[in-house]
Order: sequence, then C-alpha cells, then structure tokens
Amino acid sequence: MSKKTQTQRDNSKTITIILILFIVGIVTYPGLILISFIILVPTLAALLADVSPNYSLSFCVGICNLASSLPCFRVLYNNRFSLESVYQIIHDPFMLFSVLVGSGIGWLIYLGVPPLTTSYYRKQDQSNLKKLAAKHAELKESWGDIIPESEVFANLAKPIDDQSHTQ
Amino acid sequence: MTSLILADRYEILTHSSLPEFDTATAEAFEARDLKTPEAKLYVLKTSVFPAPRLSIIDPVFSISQGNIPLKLVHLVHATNTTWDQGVLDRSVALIYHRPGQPVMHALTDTFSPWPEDQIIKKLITPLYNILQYFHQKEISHHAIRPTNLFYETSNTQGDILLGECLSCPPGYGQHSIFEPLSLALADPISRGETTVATDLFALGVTICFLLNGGAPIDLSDERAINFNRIESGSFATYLQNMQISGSMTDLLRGLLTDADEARWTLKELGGWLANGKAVQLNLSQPRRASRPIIFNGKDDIYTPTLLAYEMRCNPMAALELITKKDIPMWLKNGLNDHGRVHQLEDLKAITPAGASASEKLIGVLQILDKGSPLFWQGKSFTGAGLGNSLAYAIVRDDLLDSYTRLLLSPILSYYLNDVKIRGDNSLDETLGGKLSIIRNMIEHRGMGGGIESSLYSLCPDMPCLSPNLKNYNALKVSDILIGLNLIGMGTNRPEQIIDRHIAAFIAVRESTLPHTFFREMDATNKLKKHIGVMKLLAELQRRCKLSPLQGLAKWIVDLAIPLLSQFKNIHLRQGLEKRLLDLVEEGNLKPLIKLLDNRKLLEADQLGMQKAQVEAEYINKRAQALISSLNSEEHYSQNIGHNNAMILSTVLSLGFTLFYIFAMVLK
Repeated sequence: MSKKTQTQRDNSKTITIILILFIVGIVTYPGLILISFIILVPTLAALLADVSPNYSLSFCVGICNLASSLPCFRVLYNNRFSLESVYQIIHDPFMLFSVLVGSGIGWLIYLGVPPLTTSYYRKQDQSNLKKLAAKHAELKESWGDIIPESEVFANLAKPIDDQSHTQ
Repeated sequence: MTSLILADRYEILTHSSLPEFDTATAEAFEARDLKTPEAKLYVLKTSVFPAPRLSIIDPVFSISQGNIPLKLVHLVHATNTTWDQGVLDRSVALIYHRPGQPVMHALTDTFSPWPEDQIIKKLITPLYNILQYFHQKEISHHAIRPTNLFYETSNTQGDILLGECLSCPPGYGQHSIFEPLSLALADPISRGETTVATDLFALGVTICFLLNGGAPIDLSDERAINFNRIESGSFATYLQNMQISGSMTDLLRGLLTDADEARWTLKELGGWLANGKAVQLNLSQPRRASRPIIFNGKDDIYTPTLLAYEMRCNPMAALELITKKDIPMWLKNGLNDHGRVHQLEDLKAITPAGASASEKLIGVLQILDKGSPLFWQGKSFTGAGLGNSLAYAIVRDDLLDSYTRLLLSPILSYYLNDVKIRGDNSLDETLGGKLSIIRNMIEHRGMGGGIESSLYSLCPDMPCLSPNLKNYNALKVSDILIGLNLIGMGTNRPEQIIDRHIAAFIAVRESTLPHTFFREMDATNKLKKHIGVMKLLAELQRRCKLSPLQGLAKWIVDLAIPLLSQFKNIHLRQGLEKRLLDLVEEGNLKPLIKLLDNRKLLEADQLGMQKAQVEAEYINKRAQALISSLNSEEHYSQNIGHNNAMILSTVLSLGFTLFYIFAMVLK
C-alpha cells in the first residue's frame, strides 16, 4: 500500500515552486539561498521520501531542521548574507552538526511517536473490550439465556493478545 | 395398627376384628369404654364411599340416648376419625354396645320357625316402639332384616335387638325382597332416604322369615321373585305355602302391600297390636289386558307394570319398542287405557326435539309404572338416590357423560318436580327445582363447576371424592385444608393441589365464596393459575380460622418455585425463592400470595428484560467493532500518531527557537 501511495504522489509542483524561488533567491540573496539549500538538504530528502498521508515526515523533519538552523541564519544575518559567511558556516562543523541533529530529532519523532500512540490506543481498546465482556457476563448472570450467547465474547475466551497478533 | 382412643374414653382395638358385626360397607372391631370397662362395645369403621348416613346420626343418637330403653343397638359415640396417624386413613367411627349373636347369619340360613306370639312379643312390639321414634324424627331405619337382628346378651329370655342402620347408605345392605317394589327395582346404592313405610314393609318380610324358619322363597332367582311380586303382589309371593293365623295374615297383608300409600301405617300396626283389629285394605288388582303385548319374545305380558319391568331388563329391545307404535296401540286396544295413551302423547311435548331414545324411555317407563325408580342407561335410581347413583358413577369413572346428559335433560326435572328435598331449610324446595340450579353448575365447565359440583349439590353429606383425598373422608372445607396439609408434609404428592373435585366441593359447601376465586384457577398461565389456587386456600384458611399449615405451605411453595421462571431476572427469582422458603415455616398462606401476586414486580421484570436485551445488543455491536479494529492492519490511531508526531516536533522546535532567542537577547 505504501508503494502505491508513493507512485501516486506527485511532488513536482512543490519542487517547481521551490526551484523558481531558488532562482529568484539566488539572484537577490545568493548567500541566503546557498546556505538554505545546504542546511535544508535533510528536509528536501524527507520530502522526497515522504509517503505519509499528511506529509507528517516532511513536517517533523522540516520544522526540526528549521529550528536547528537558527544559529546558521543568525550568523548569515549578522554578516549581511555575504558569501564569506556562507563559507564560514560551511566550514564550521558544529553548525552543520547541530543542523543534522535537529533533523535527526525530527526523524526520531516521526518514527517513534505514531507506533507509541497506536500501541496506547490498542491497549485502551483491549481494556474496553474486557469491560464490555464483563458487562455482558454480568447481564448473562442476571438474565440467563434471555441474553443470547455472543460469538465475539466466546472467542475472547482465547487470550486477546493472541487475537491482536493475528492482525 | 394397634389401638386408638376416641373422645379420651373409647379404646378401639383395631387388631381385634368382629366379623359377625361387619356390615355391607363397614368393618367391625372390638372397643372398650375406659370409664366403664365392663361394658362391651364394638366399633364400625365405615367406608369413605359408599358413605354412611351422616344426616341421621344425630336423630339416631338422640333416640339411643332417650330415657325409654329401646330394643335397638345402643349408639354410644360417632365421630369422623383418623385410623392410622400420619396416613390418610380417615372415616366415620360408630361405637355401639355389643349385642349377642345375630338371629340369622345369612338369609339362606334355616332355623326352627318362631311361634306367632313370640314374634309379636320379641319382634313386632319392640320394632313398633322403635319405628315410632324414627317416625317422630322423620327418618327411616331402612335396614330391618333378620341378619340385622341380634339376641340380647344381658338377659336369657331371647329378647332381640334391632341392629344399626348408619354405616351404609339407605337400603344399601338390603336384599331387594325387603324393599317395596318401588325401591326393589332401584340399584342398592340408589334407593335414597325414605320413610318408616319402607321399614314396615321390611318388618313384614322379616316376620315371614321368622314364621318360616328361613327365607320364604327361593332367593337365587331375583328376577323371578320380582316378576312374581309384580304379577301377584309381594304378599302372595312371600306367603305361598305358609300356615299362619288369620290375625297374622291380616298383619302381613297390611305390611306387605306394595303401594306405599295403601300399606299399613304405624297407627294401624299399633291398633293391631293393641286389640288385634285389622284395617280392611281396599286393594285393587292391576287391570289386565285382553291380549298380551309381545316383547322380546315374551307373550305373557298383560299389565303395563310388568311390561315396564321387562323393558328395564331388556333396555335395547325397549328402545326399539318405543320407536314403534306398539305400546299406544296395546294400551288403547288391549287395555282400553286412554289415560296412559294421552300421557304418551304428552311425553312428546315434554321431551325436547333432539331428545335421545334413552330420555324417552325414562318417560315411557314412568307412564307404564308410575312411581317406579327412574331408569337411565342400565341404572335405576329414585329421586332421593340420584346423588348416590351419580357418586357411584364418579367413583367408578363410568358413564359420566351419560349422567351429564341426564342431568341436563328437562325430562328428569319433570319427573322429580314433586320430590321434596329432605332436611333442607327450604321446605318448599323440590328436587326438580334444585336440578335447574344444578344444570347451570354443570354448564360451567371450569373449576368449581361441571358434573362434580352437581354431585356435592345433590349429596350434602358426601365427602370430597377427590383422588387426592379419597381416603381422608373430608366432610367439611376445613377437613380439605387439613388433609391437603397432611399430603403436603409427605413426599408422594399429586401434581396439583386443587383438582376439579376439591374445587367443586368448596364451591358448593362455601357458597358465599366469590366466583372470581374459581375463575382465576381456570387461567392458562400456570403462575396465574397457581396464584388462584393459593388465593382460594388462603381465603379458606382465614374463614376456617385454621392454625398454621406448614405442609400445605411447603407444597404450595414447591409447586411455585418452578413457576418463578416467569420472572426473567435470575437474582429476582433467587430472592423470591429464598423468601418463599422462609415463609413456609410460618404456615400462613396469605404472605405467600402477597409475594407472588405482584403485578408491578412482574412488569418491572419484563421492562428490565427488554432493557437488558437492548444493552446486550449494543455491547455485542461495540465489541465487534473493537475486535475488527484490533484485527485490522491499519489502526485508526495511526493518523492520530502522525498528528501527535507533528505536534511534538512543533512544540520542540518552538521551544528551541524561543530558548535560542531568549539566550541571544540575554547575551
């Protein structure tokens, strides 16, 4: 399914807009565009690789990438967007490392939070199912055969974990 | 069985039987008076059915307790008693002073004929005195026969005592030769209460036995005896070859007259005893036809009475005969009896259009032999004996539909319209009038009605003949409750507490009970029906002011517990069951009804059940949705996860940005 989404997604418009902005920018602020291109490479990579339905990967990586790029932009701004400052930033390993770390955090959030959320919700569903089973058993105890046997709860006699593993 | 004490005075030795005092329905045992041990007593253990003559126990007891000593076995005590504790073995006990040996052990015995003066002194005079008292009390002895005469033990002069008359239905133990023709043709169980006129006839026959030293005729062929009695009269039949004085002949002619109205009365007998004078009888011989009527191959029938008798003996041929015109033709041409011909014409008006041949036969026989017992499908009964006849059929579970048809037939009321009900408060009430009320009871097929109610209405002294209480001799409504309480204490209990007999008995004996009690018992819903039974029993417990009935309460609760399944909530059911069991010990039936007869509780239970079903359906659907979600690859929370990731990254980035800005500003 993920492959199908990948083939169907068309990022060409976005890339085109970025390219136009890039050309306009390189004419007006070449330093800014150059450094932006260099430090936002992880975001561009995430955008190309993003298969999530709401661009969540691009968003997570991009926003973290952007936040971690603040020191670079501050240096560039202090040097009036000069190409020397671009050269200086590129040659500063800490600057680039902080950018990569920020992007990495974005990746980690994207990879870690959804499974954790799903796991939490599954546990909650199982808990609700147990409560329903208990309520059904209580009704059976009070009303006997008037309450029909439920296949759902008959299957629950098996451990619920076993059932969830079958998904 | 060993012995039991009655009235704290009479010891009954149930192991010591006295067969010489047995009667047709009662067993005799030795008894002792604890206050006067020298008095020799015997007790009669009567049967539940045929029932003893309860209605005349009090008059007979008062005669026995009278100041003038009569030559009648002395009734000492009478009570309805339990013969074996803990067992449903209950019947009326009659305690008498024990006489000597009977004059005859069996009617076929022979002995030296008694001289006439001895018969007058030892038999006629004492029995005359006794019958006078019976006449005053408007009752009959109806058991005068040589086998019921006993020698007195206290003297050596050969005085005799007249035996008891209470243990059997009236005339039940009598051979038909001791009965006037009007009763001789009735079934022994169905002779009914009569007057001393019947006793005077039996006295005449008994005199014949003593004069003859045995039976005056061959007793082996009852039909031939009846034939001769109808043809020649009882007097001529019984005194064929007997040499007796003219005075005795006059007496016997007077006593052995078949027609009740022509027979000597006590006054005439008293006159004969006082001065030997005989009242001349104006007897008319039945008119004989100029030619016989041929019936069932017989060509010697010259009188309508004989024809009626032959028709009784051959009912199938009789039914065939009445469909032809032979009888009116014979009456008109052979007898010139236009009166009977007109009566036969009138019979068509009395009988309804769809009347059966058996109904017509009743009328034809009454026209041919007026005053004879009514004949219905092989059964013969007098008006007063109809109740016992019906009871006999019910006990044997035989011909019940036939009796229902008979009681519903207007022809029965027609012929019983002039039969007065004896011992009833309403002096003017006739059996015919009572039958019209009974007809309504029979037509009500539910509990408290039907043929059973007609039985208890016709027989005010009949015990309840329910199979549940058949050996308990329940004579009163309180007996019913006590008997059911005893059954309830045991383990071998019938399926239902109140059957049709018990319901009919209660309906008739407790006539002020509202009919709603019985209507509720006709409900098809088993719980409602059981509540109806409980309500009736509780009402009777209140009316009879009976002490706690734990056995009956236990029985009711045991039957009610399975019916609690109508309450669907298991906890409610268990709660009710526990409370019912707790109430058993109290033995009071009313709280049981309050617990079960609760419409609101039942409705709340039904409502709760509907809610529970809806809730169970919702739970099932919800659970199915959860399971399918858990089993699907793409959980609905995946999107939430992505959103959460975006939120978290936004928060972190904003946090870092703010922190960086603040750091730069502060720097």
